[in-house]
Amino acid sequence: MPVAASQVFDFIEQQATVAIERHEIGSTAFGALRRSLRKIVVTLRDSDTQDALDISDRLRALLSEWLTVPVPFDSSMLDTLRELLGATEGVQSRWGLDIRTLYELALCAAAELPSIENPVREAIRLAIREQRSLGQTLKVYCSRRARLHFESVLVPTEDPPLLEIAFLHSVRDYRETAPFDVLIKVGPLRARGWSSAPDALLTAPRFRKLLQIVWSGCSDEPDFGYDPVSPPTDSQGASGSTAATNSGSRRGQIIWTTRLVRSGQDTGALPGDAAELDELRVFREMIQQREKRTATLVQVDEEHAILYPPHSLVLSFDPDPASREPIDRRMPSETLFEGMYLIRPLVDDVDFGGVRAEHGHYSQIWKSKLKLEWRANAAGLIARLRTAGLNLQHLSSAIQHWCKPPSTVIHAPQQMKHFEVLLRVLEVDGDAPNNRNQKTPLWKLAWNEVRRSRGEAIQFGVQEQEIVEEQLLNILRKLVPQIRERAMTGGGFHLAIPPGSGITGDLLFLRVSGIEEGFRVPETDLKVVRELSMVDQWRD
Amino acid sequence: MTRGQRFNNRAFGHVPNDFEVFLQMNALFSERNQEWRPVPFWVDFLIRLGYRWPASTMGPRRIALLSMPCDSAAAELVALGAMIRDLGNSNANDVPGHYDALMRYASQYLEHCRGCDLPECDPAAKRCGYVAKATGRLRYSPSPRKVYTVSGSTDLANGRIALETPAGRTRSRSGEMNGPVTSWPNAEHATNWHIENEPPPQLASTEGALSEGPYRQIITEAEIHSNNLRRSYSGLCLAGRAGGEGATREICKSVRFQFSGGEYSLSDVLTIHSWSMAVPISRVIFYNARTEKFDRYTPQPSLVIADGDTSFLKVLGGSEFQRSDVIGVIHRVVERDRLEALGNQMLGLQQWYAEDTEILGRLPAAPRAIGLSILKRRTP
Repeated sequence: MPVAASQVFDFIEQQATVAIERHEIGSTAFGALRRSLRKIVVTLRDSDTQDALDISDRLRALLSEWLTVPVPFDSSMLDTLRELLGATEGVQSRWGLDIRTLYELALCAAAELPSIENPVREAIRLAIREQRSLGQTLKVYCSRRARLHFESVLVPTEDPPLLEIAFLHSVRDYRETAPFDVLIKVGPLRARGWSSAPDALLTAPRFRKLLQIVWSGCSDEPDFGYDPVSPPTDSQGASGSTAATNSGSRRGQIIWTTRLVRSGQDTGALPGDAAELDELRVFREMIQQREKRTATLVQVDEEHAILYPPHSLVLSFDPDPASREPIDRRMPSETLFEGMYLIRPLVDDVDFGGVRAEHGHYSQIWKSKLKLEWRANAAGLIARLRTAGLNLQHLSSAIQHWCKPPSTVIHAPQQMKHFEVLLRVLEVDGDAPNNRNQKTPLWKLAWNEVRRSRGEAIQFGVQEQEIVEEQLLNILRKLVPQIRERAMTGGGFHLAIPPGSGITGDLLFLRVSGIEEGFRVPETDLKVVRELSMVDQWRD
Repeated sequence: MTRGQRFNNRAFGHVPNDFEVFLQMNALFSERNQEWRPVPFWVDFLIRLGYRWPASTMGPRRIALLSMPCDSAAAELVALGAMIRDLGNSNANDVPGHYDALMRYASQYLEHCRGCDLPECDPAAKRCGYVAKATGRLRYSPSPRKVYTVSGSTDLANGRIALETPAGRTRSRSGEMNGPVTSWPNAEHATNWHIENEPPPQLASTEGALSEGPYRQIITEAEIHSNNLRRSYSGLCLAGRAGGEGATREICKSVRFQFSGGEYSLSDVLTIHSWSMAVPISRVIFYNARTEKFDRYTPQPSLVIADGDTSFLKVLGGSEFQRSDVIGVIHRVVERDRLEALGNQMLGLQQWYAEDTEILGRLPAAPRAIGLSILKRRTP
């Protein structure tokens, strides 16, 4: 429920100034880690092998998270690096001595980190305690996935926990919050991607004070606080090590005071490298060189999300009984919100005119074989797959993931060639009839099923897709009572299309649990279900 | 709370600020069922922005973007101000153009819609150039239950409309069913007929007319032409929210005024046709930004107030609005992509438009956190 406008205006009128207190934190060990990783990311980006590009993307996502989320400094950081890159000798043989040297530096720094507390976490804890002692109402702006790291900075025996209402995760959350005293934000002010926040933090403050905690070198975007009525001017903000500045804002007479507090030192710059270089800016420039489209993420369960290009209209269901059009096409973050359901027909891409009835028919065959083989001889299965050409990093955890039963998607290898190898090794071979009764290799039908579950089954063109959606809209509108009943459970669900509707098949209802802007995604990864861990690489 | 108490309301938790004591509005205000309070400065500013917007359709086209710090009924408040402005303009009514409007309607019905082969009206698919179906049905104001249909005898070439009542409702003296009766209304008496599901152009008497009181209490210095209180007007358009008519009406209902004559919600005083059964006439047309349809035919509104970024961008791109002044009202608590789409649009317009400092100078100073940019076309 949005806040009354008069409440916001009264609050703004009462505020002579709004304060920003920016804490910049330096650390020698963490500085060494981030510089080494940054160099590896940038160097591997120039490589022409897919393997190197994948590693570069994953490292970039990892470092971006560490820079913008108050993660604990523990052994998992070292473990993650080792899992990603493997043995140092292997790194040298694949990418040369320079990368190995950087990797070793990163490993050393990561090994040293667990001996100290992440100073960002310490700063958050102190800030929360101080504001609470002053009786101030405070809120934290962070991504939904970062929340547990904020909750864990507090000492359970000393500090009351942060309540649900203390967190703001989206523009919508911010839009609907009543004015409060202090907003805590970790990371630079950026409009998109890692550490993103609404421009409205600066153009429409609902707080008296913004307490920003950042790693040294992480700069706010110069145009953050964009208002289409007032075009951007030179960046505002503080300069100097500890400074307090007043700036009459360009944004409708809101006056800001900025105070900068620096703590900790980063003394270990690499030779020839600037002591403080903004990784997030470097990564953004790197990504922008590649051809990608801006996209909005719609999270559909704890592990999966779908990315939509701007202004997409998606078939959806609003469970709110007051909704006039419960079934409609909606635009993510504008008319499609959390708590609503995406509706995905399981469309057969071989034969237009039908919608497949079962979700995961072929997967039952190969997944049961995979589970059997895994239980009988896991090491042997891995060896056979590697010999056959499925040479993925972390094959062991990948196989366990593929064994999971179908949910939002059918868990399977991302690439067709890997899937073919998997089914060949499992000896799931032979043919089966397709929709036109033509014999087709079983692995191809199973692969189509995987692709369909990811939403990749749009072979028959936009016009036919629209016809199907139009027919579905009419069918779905008649099914509203049934859909409402199923939605009462709160989670996702399947619904078979009633016989005699002109279409046979199955519909997946995926509950929207989060919507986020700020992604740049390859065309082929739009509108398909992807794992969240994979999606992170496309954050700006 | 009575009006006499309105500046002494500390007991209600609200302390009037400096701006409120200068307000002249004789009304109290409530939003989202909160307590009554003096009309806030931001509300007064928005209504006055609409009220002072230049009424002339002859001057250069203007496009404004108003940016708010939160979601609100700002667009509808601007529309209310503009509506009060139009109540004072003796030319702001649909009577003079009504016969032409009926002829256009008859022409659309006879030449296009009557023989259309689509099962459901879809102007985009048909590419007929119309925005909605003409059913050919009209209502007769002196006897509103009576339905007339545009007759095939209509002489489009000479501008003579023929209307007929359906056959078979009454019997002749001989006991036979009467055949259809054809009427040939002339331009003078055509205001007795109006298109079905649209407001009448004019009420025959003051019964059902708008009450002047609320509007005069909103803008105390407003001049109101009494004839306009019983006449419809299609020159002012509210382009609703992206969520559709329901979402727009919802926000209007959440804003209420208390005048000496009673309480009114914003949805009551805006007189949008389907929103109020009490008042048959309508002084504001509604454009549904979701379905991209008007609530009635309009040749070209002179001023459009668009609620939200999506609505504003649609209006700027819509062929129906190419000559209209446009005031887009947005709030800034949206994603960057949406803000940039607006910023780019305003930047693009600057090829042909220049900042209108003249109008800005005539308006009251904006409250803190409201941004306003007005562009004026360089050549009319």
